[in-house]
Amino acid sequence: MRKVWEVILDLIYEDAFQFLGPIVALFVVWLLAKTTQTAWLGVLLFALIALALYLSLRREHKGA
Amino acid sequence: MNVVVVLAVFAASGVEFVEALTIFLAARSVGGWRPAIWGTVVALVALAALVAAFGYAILALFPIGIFRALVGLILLFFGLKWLRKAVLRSSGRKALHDEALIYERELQQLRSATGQNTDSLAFATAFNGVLLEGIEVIFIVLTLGANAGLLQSAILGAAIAFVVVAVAGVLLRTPLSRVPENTLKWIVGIMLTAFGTFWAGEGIGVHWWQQDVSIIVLIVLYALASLALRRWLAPRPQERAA
Repeated sequence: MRKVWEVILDLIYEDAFQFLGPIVALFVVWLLAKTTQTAWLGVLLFALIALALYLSLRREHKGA
Repeated sequence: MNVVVVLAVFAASGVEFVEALTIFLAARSVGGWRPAIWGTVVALVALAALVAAFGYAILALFPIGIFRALVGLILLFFGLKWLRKAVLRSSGRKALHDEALIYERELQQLRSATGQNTDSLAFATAFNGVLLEGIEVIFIVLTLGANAGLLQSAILGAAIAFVVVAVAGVLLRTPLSRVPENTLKWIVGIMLTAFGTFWAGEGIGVHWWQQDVSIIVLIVLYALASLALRRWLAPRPQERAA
């Protein structure tokens, strides 16, 4: 299970995260925006994009 | 001439022009004046062609939501790329991982290749930003001007806002050139990521708190997040010793 998780993380690391991260974040918020209208969706969008940035840098931290 | 309409359009379109100026200055700092100006000029020609071709029909025909989402996504791609590199360099992590020889080789390759890449990036960034903001200004002018039956007043308000923001852009040119390169790229990364988040969010139906004011909040949040990541990535004492 851990290996599967590592493979998934590998996919979104490095350059790939720049494309997958924002797309996944926008898709999740778009789905939520269809059913609910709240200013917190903006906060969620920021949090998901910041998470993508964090995940892309995680390898640099672990590889130290 | 209606002063209220002039002022309303001046304020509303002024916000959009400031956003376009920010994107233009960001593009200029990465690729230089030439591609940024070309991106802006091509976007302005495209806007003029759209207005000439569709006139008032542009309000009904143009899918502004989809356009916002696409431009926002493109800016997010560019912004996150620059932000990530700036965080890695400022934390010292990039230099730690790259051996000196490889680093030098990469630098040489970048120097020979980046002319084309940064030109394209700067052109695309300026083009997208100016086109999106220009369309929003057209929407403001046409909706406020047409609803009030005072199109000339609306056009005058937008024209004054354009001149004021353009003058501010010329005045900002010198102070910006004194900012260190990596700091400038960090700022550009934050700006593009914040604008990209805002526009893409608007495009997919997010109702931002206080509308455009949220851009400032996003800029602050991304700055804080990238500073925290830089601190987290900074080499620990035992790594420095090794």
